Amino acid sequence: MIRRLLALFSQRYGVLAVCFCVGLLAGCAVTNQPIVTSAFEESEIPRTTRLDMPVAPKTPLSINVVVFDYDVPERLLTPIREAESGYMAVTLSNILQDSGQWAGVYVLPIANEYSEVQISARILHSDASLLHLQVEVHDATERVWIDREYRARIDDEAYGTDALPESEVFAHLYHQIANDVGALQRSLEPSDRQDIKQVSMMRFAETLAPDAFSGYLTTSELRIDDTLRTVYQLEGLPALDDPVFRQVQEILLREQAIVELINTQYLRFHQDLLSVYPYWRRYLYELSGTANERRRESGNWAATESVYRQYEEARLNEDRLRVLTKSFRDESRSTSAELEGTVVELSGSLAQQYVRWRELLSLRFIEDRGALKLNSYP
Amino acid sequence: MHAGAFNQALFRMTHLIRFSGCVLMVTLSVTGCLNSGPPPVEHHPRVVDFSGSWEVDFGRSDDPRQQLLLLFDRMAERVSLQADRRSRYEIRQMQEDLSGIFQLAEEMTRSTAINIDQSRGYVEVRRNENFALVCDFSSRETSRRLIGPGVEYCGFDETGQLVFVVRLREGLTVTNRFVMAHDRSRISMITSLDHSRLPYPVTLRRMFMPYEEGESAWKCEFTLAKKTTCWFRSDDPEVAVEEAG
Repeated sequence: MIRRLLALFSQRYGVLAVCFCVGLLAGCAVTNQPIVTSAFEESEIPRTTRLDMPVAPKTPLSINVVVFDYDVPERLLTPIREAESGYMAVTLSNILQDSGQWAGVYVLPIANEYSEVQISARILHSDASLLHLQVEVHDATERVWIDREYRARIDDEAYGTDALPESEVFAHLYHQIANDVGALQRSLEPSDRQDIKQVSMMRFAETLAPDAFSGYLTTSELRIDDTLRTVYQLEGLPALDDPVFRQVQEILLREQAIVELINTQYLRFHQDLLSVYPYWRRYLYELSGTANERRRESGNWAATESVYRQYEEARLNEDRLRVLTKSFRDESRSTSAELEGTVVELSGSLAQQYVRWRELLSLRFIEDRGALKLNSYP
Repeated sequence: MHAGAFNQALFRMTHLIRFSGCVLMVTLSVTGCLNSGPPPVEHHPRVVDFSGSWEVDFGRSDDPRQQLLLLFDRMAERVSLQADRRSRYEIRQMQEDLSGIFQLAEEMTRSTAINIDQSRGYVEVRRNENFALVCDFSSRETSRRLIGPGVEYCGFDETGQLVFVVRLREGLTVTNRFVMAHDRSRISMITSLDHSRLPYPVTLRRMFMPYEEGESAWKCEFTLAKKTTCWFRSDDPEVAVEEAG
């Protein structure tokens, strides 16, 4: 009900509605109610939207961006969407990093259950002039921060001669997401952020040793629209010198190592794509009717050739995107990681490697815990 | 005035051909109707398997230079015959179009090797020195792509041969048709350029013969840093010359 009112309000009053939402959310946070926002407003993000860079909270949270999801299109475009899904996730991650609001920003191949804050997005539409995303942000307690669509359209100016070729033409959309999620973090009390961090840690601990740590968390069902969500609450914390808990913390550090490694691979992929993807998008835009209206009067061979060159460049860049996506897939199929002085070879997609690494850590944890028990009973 | 422009266009064309290192077999399709556009592409159950690696059959190719010059002359003559029915501006524009379209045609058929991956509902034709022709013909919808006001479509024609068509704004239509010999010994790649302001499409044909990967004297590789580089197999790739962007 409240959300519908918010939606109605936001449709009518735009920016004011966002302020109202944030204010209300701040209140919610204080009263330990679910932090939920779902703007139904689907108006396009204004091109003038800039990245807010206010003073960061004292103990900021970490945020993970999951590689964007997409509907599998025709086979022809699959490599392009695959490239976009990584490219867009890293673009958002870079902007979140630039906002200076977060303790850490990482790109993950798949969602994990213990991220302090996690952004998932689905590409609903992507072409040279329109980007439309469905974005969901939630924290480790599973409370939804954002669940809405973001849509941005661009005009000739974005691809004009003044614009840097590699600049992100949909920057305003990413800025809006970063601003929204940043504002929600700032609306939290320090104790709420602390709760989220602790729930994150305990959820990680619970996956490793449910018998030892499940009692520290309770769950409750929360109805959001017609969907029931399980929300986690912290009931207590293990003693700081609990040896098993200390092991969990060590395992978490090792897990973080692979997250950073994977993140680096995505950053490299993004760096490679920067020399192709923006150009591909630009040539597609040039070919589209919007930009062409201005040149319609030409009608000479130069105009014909110019159109062909745009088409040729778009297709050549599409070929390069296919090559880059394939080479990223091939090159990232094997990773060497060190685990307790042993080099472990991980293979498969980054998602598979990540899952495998977590399995290995889990096994190692069980072995260590067994040793710990044995040592406890000499 | 317009004769001067025509001579200039002809000179440019001659110059272009003189320095062209490519071996082409060129035919001008004079049987084509005026700007009739590409043939309809049907989704036919009878499809030919084109997969494999193919390189230009130099042995079966004639020296294209004389042919290209001759064809250009003939086409230019046809254009000038219309001089009394058209304004000088129109004639000059047709001559420009003619020169431009031949130049494009020459450029589009430079590929000396093609590699075709074909599976159910999907074909990818990779060409050196040119972009890949890709077709997802699993449905009528996927085999058509809108490109602004233009359109790209592909599929197999009634004889099971592979056809790619792109119709671009400003009146240019490019058709690439791949025809397989009965004994699979050759593929003919027929590239046709049609412009709404020209009387005939320009059609160029190249013959390709199969080769096993690793057999060709040339090895080409694409990297972002070096773009496309080709080298003789016996040579060190490090000393290869950059071939194309």
